[in-house]
Order: sequence, then C-alpha cells, then structure tokens
Amino acid sequence: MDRCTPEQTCEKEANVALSVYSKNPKINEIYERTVSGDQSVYKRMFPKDLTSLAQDIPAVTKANYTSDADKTLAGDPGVQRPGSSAQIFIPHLGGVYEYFLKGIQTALRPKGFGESALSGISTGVVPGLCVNAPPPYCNVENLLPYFGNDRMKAEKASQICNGESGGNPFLINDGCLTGKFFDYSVGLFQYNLASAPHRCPGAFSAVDEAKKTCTIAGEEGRKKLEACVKKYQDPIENINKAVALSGNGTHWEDWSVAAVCGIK
Amino acid sequence: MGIVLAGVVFFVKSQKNKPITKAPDQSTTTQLPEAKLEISGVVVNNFLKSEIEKNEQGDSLLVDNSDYQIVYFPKTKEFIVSITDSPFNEIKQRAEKDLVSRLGVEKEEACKFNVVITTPRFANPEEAGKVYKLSFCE
Repeated sequence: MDRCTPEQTCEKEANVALSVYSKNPKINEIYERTVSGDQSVYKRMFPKDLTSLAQDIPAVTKANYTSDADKTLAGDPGVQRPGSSAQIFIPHLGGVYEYFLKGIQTALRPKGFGESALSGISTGVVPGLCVNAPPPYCNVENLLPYFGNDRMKAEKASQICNGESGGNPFLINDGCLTGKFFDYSVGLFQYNLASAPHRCPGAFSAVDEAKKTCTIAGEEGRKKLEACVKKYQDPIENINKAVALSGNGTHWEDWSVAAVCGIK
Repeated sequence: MGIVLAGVVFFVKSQKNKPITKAPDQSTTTQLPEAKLEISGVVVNNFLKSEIEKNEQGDSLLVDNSDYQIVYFPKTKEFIVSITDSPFNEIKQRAEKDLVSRLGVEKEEACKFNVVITTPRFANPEEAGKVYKLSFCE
C-alpha cells in the first residue's frame, strides 16, 4: 500500500524593498555658498522678498533597476512605476540650477529675455517623472508657445501627452462602448468626450461613470460623435483644449497619467 | 506695349523653368513613378495611396487596427507607431514588420527613417510614457 504524504504549500507574494543612497561630496557646502547661506551669491544679488521664497529643490537623474523577480518597481509601489523608469534624486542641486545658474542669468539679461522669471513658488527643475513626448506636436519645443514659453509647464504637458497618447493625434480610446474604461477619449491629450454632455452635445444618449459605459445616440449621435472626433484629432485644437483644461498648464489632476508621472 | 510683351515672355519662360511638381513628402526634384516616394534618401512604396484618414494638419493615418496604428507626419517626415493593445512587445514586433513591408524596404533602410514607437497608458500602463525605436535598429 502506498503511503500518502500530504504536502502543504502556502504561496504568498513577497515584496522586498531595497533602498538606494547617493553620496554627493560637498553638495551642502556648494548649496550654502551659492543659494542658501546668508552670504550666498544668490542672496546677495536678489531682494529678500524673493530669496525668502526659495525652495530646496533636488535634481534628478534616470536609473534602471532590474532583478530576477517577477516585477521590479521603482519608488512608491502603489504607483506601479517600472524599474526601467527609476530616478535618483540629488539633494540641493536643482536649487543651485534654478536660483544660482538660471536665476542669475535671467537677472543679468534685459527684461523679458531669458527663461521664465524666478519664483519661490516654482516646483523646480523636476517637471515630472516621465519621458517627454516625441515630435512633431507634443515635444517641448512645439508646446512652449502654447504655455507662454514656460519650459516647466511645457515639459509637464509633454509628459502628460506622452503617457496619454504617445504623441499620436489620431488615437481614440473608446473604452466606454465596452465598459472597459469610462472613456471616449480623443487625440494627443485624450480629450474625453463622454465625461460631460457639453463636450460633444447629442453624441451620447446615456453615460454611466460607475459602470464605465456610454451609448451612442443612434445614427444622428454617431454623426455628431464623428464630427467631434475629427475636431479633436486636429493637434492644434487638442493642445488648445488641454491648455484651457489645465488652467494654462497649472493643474493636471484631471489626467490619470499625471499621478503616475508625479505631476500636479 | 513693349513692357506688356516682355512681361508675357518672362511669364512663359518662368513657367517653362518651373521644376516638376513634387508630392508633399518628396524630398528631391527627381521624378519618381506615382507608386513611389522618397524619404530620407530612400525610395519607398507610395503608402499615402492607402491612407485611411488625414487630419487638418495633413498628417496621415496609415494603419488602424485593434492592436496598433501607424501615422505619418509629412511636414517632418516622421512615423509614429502606436501600440494600442497588449502584450506590448509582441504587437510591437508585428507593427514593425508591417511598417517595413508597407514601405517595401529592407530593415537596414528602415533604420534611416525617423520612426518612434509609443503606447498609451490605457493600453500598456508599464510601457507607456516612454519612446521606443525600431527593435532591429537598436
């Protein structure tokens, strides 16, 4: 008679966190001499009203984390950012760039020239954690004029566009027709026609955000929808809509990619 | 009268000297058969003949299926391949093959073109937000 040897197994997913530290010799001293110290170059050149608003901004560099595990993530696991998109932050260096290098250059130029005015409210040199979109429409250079030549805003917009459409003006996500996503989103910045009736009047007879569904209002609705799609597949129209919806590039919360890219 | 005549002669002459009209995306004055185009110094099939859609800026949607789209931007002579479903790598390979076959060129020649491959977050959250090149050119 065969002996029965019961084997009990218990499988559980385990997350292992590894911390990465960088050594930056003399970075504190450099920061103090150029920006933060009472006798720093920055503080001696700019009025106190402005220097008191200066923020301690890190710089960022790309990194690639790999492992033999099923999944390798970078940063907050809740965001699910892949290891290939990892980034390493270097303390203070963003502030040195923003205030000491860029700020002083702008101050020495005639009014109106140089990059956007230095501001303590600025979020610094880290516009977001994602990659800028490719040309011809969502690259930073093309977006700059839409955002008042503010490079920070244009970079954020470029990253949003890259995550939303990859720079493809024809892209449509019609997930609400199948209940997969609450989206009938079109073009570069994936303008969602289903999310509010005024976005494409008469196109949908019913939308249900909870169920992620939408129903096209018959043949007439389809024609209206096609006209809206064509309109927002025009890159210029789409970018202008994104500029308006983001308050000239000041808030991007409505785009789901923003949270992934660390953009506000 | 003489001025008018001279003007007419100049007009006729200037018309004769005009170069052959080029297709919007032809980069040289060499006359190619209608079935061919030239991009980045490489003669390719005239893929514009089978374009599906064109937007206000003249960009052409060349391929649109449930897995991927291929778009051509004539002003900058660039292609974007959008992977719109998963698994990303498998579909990317197929899309690359399709592009090369539509252009009717060898892979080495395709590497001379400006081709970027991207994917939206709704299709491939992990691969979205990056810019990829043709795998055989890397």
